Amino acid sequence: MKSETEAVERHARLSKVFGTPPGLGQLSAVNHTTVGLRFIVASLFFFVVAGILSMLIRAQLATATNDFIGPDIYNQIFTAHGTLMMFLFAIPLIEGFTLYLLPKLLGSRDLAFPRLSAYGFWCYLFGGSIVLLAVLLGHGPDSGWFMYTPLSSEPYSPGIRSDIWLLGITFVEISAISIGVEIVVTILKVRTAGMKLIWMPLFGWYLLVTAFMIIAGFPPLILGSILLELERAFGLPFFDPARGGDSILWQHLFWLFGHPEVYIIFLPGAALISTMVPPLARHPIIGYTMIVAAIVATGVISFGLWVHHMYTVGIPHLGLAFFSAASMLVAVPTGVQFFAWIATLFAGRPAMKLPMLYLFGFLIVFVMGGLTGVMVALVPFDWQVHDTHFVVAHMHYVLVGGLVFPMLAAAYYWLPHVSGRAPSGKLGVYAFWFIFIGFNLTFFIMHLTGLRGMPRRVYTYEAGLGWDIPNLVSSVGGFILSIGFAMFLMDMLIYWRLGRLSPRNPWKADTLDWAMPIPSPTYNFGSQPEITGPNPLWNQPDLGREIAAGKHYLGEVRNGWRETLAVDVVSGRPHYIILLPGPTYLPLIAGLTTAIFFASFLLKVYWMAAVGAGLSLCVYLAWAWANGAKTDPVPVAASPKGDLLPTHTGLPQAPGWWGLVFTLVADAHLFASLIFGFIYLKTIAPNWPPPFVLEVSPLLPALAIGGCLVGYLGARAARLANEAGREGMRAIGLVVSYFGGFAAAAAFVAIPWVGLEDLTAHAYAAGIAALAGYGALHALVGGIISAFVATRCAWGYVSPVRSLETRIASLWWGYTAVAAVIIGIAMFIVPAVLPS
Amino acid sequence: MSTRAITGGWRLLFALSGWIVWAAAFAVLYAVQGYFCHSAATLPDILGLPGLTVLLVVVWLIHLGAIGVLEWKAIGQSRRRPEETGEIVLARLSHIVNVTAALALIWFGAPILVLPPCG
Repeated sequence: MKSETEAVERHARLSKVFGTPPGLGQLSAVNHTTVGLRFIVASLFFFVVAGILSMLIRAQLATATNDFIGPDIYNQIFTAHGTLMMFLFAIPLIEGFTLYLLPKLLGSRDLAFPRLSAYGFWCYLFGGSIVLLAVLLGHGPDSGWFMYTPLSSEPYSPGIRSDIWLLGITFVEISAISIGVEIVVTILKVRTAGMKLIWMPLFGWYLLVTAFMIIAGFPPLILGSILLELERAFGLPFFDPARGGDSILWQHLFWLFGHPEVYIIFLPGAALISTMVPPLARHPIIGYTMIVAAIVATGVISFGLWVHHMYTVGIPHLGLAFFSAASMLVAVPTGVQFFAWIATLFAGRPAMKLPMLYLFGFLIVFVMGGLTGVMVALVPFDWQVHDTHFVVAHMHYVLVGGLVFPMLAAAYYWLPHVSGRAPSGKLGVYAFWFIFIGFNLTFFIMHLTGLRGMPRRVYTYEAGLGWDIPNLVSSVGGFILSIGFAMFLMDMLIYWRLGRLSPRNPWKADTLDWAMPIPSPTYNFGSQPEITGPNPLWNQPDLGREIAAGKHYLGEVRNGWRETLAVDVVSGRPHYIILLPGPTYLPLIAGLTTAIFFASFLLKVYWMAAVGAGLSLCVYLAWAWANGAKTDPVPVAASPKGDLLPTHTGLPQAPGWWGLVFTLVADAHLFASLIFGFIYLKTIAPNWPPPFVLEVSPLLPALAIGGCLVGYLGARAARLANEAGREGMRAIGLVVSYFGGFAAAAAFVAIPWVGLEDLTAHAYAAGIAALAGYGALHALVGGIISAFVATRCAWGYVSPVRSLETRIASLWWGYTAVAAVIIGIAMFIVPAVLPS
Repeated sequence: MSTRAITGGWRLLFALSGWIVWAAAFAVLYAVQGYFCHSAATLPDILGLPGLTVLLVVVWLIHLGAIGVLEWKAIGQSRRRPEETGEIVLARLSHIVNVTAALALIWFGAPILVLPPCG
């Protein structure tokens, strides 16, 4: 009785520390449970809107020569349907599930950067709202969800429709990159004690690979969107063949993102499957190591498939063979995962519960999508069905099979965790059959429509071409499918409010997410468990009680801190204690200032966009200033056993260090895409060589590159001086790097300004300007970082022990210096050496 | 075989590096093929074979060799610290990754041997 009282009191203390203020204070929430659920709810809203749009599409195509919707509205609708489903439903839904589940599965109390995920949510919500508002006002984008140039270029898409897509979606992608970095650092560092990498739930491996794919895959699209917006807004001709650009470059940049995107959507679905199958089969997963290898292989190979969408653009056969081989290859690791799930089900005693029904739906639908995927991987077949409804059918089998069915299963599996109530069972079964039958009725016959030659993206068709009956069947199926989804949503709402109370671990699962009370408390665990093997709740049956009794790590509230463990990447040994931030409005304010930037750019009020960027910078600096401490961390008791761990504040390998490393990985991918684009245009685009070349004094590039090198050397000297306790030298190093940064930024800006007469005359000039802009921005940010760290040093936030900030400055400058040298080579050596 | 122990986050990177080499091979092979087929740059024939084919084969074999070196290092690592459960599984993961990446590279590069480089 006494121990129960203590547990309740501990619960109250932890709830007070990890809670969020009520009312408007909810806008300051940064807790992963709250932010994750917000992502899920918002993505479901966009799903409903996109679903309604798809019903309009099916209504239009149900009969030949239908005039229900005209071509203009139809173009907006199919563009909005694809855009909303891909960018505002699928990815955010994955992010929501991940933010909610990941810390619970890893045994931690929150994510590595709670404010960053909250900022990601606001970026997503505001960016998505811009796109949705435009659609509702009849000014939605109408060039297709992949925005091919020249259709989306200014001459063929005047007005702001394409700008809405480019700026709105780029805004949303800030969210994706933020969450990608968040997920990687959380998985590598923010696990519970003893959770070795190879004991981590497969969900962790799947999301680790997915997050890397987001970090590597989204930057090419962000770059493409920036370049196309620069072309539309200022006339820089990256995609205009008449002026040395190439519309195919857009396809490369888009599909460098677009094909990995398919697996960015599928892998989290598979992660949910791999987490649900063992408890439902009542057997540990078979082939853990093989599955991990398969996940990595899938992630890597998915980057070798992008041209698989471009077989018809005129690429040499050997190039096509590379991509065809890779497209077939990716089926192998996918197959490994399938066989592992089937083997686990076969070896266990499957419980035929509601989530299992949806799992079977996934297995059937996704396998069919995979099979047609192998068909379109074959070049001759793809040539026949390219841009027909066959591809639409294939894509929906893959995406609905790979994401929607697993998510529906997961909704039934984890809703007791969120609501504390058990599923009703019956309505969910009816919903499944409506969805399953409706989906196959809609899309299976669409293969036939495509094989009979019906192209995509046409708003109507003539009767008598053999497309009438298949289209009518698809439309009927589409409405049955919609009824199924409505039943599913109704079931969720009903049992959320009226379902019977669920037992604590209704599926008798092995994972730590079920080692807590349901609905889950904001702090997740009364104490962070020390685990001794995989499948912790099966191997340590008393773990739940021990956690509640505070017998493991960080069982007591200390100084009102939000604490969670950080561990060694591979071994899972406790490394230090992370002090997490509490509720703050900074993410919301940062989201609003970022929205000012994007909305002003969209409306072409560029001075206001500059104000938005400046305000955002101020908020970011205030955000960074709120971190840190003025005293060195001392080891504190972390568990009843007496383990001593330091707090993370200012430690050289604190989460902030890891966050910057992976942010720079994303940045490097954007830079690599820019270099690729420049060389691509130089090599392949028509109308090269340009009628003029860059003519500047050698002093300017020397100042630009030299300034960055000086910036790096200054920052490095400051880091070393700080570690040696030499404060004077530290200050000098930072001041030197500050001046180096601003000198380099000015020189980078001056290069195209002085050396080129007209940036709009040729893609060569536009490319030089883009490279110079990249260099200037990084040097400028480097200068600001140096000034910021110097100020922090003066205020006492940095010491030989608290060396994080000097290390961050040094790392940023190291990257910028390397980038500056590469920019120099690209500007001055590549055009001279590489023949066009 | 004396091999220094690879620790921390580098251990994870090392375990997965076979596929990183595969990705590098993919990027380099496609870039070389695309560049020489679309630009004015030309390569002389070597032993009666198109120079570009020979270059692609060389690039292909270099990457296959790199995976071989990784596997050799992985064997050294797994002999070094076999006592820890985590290390055994991570070492097994390294071997699986290296072998599958090598097989995938052979599969993906094989068309170089049978197709004209720019046809």
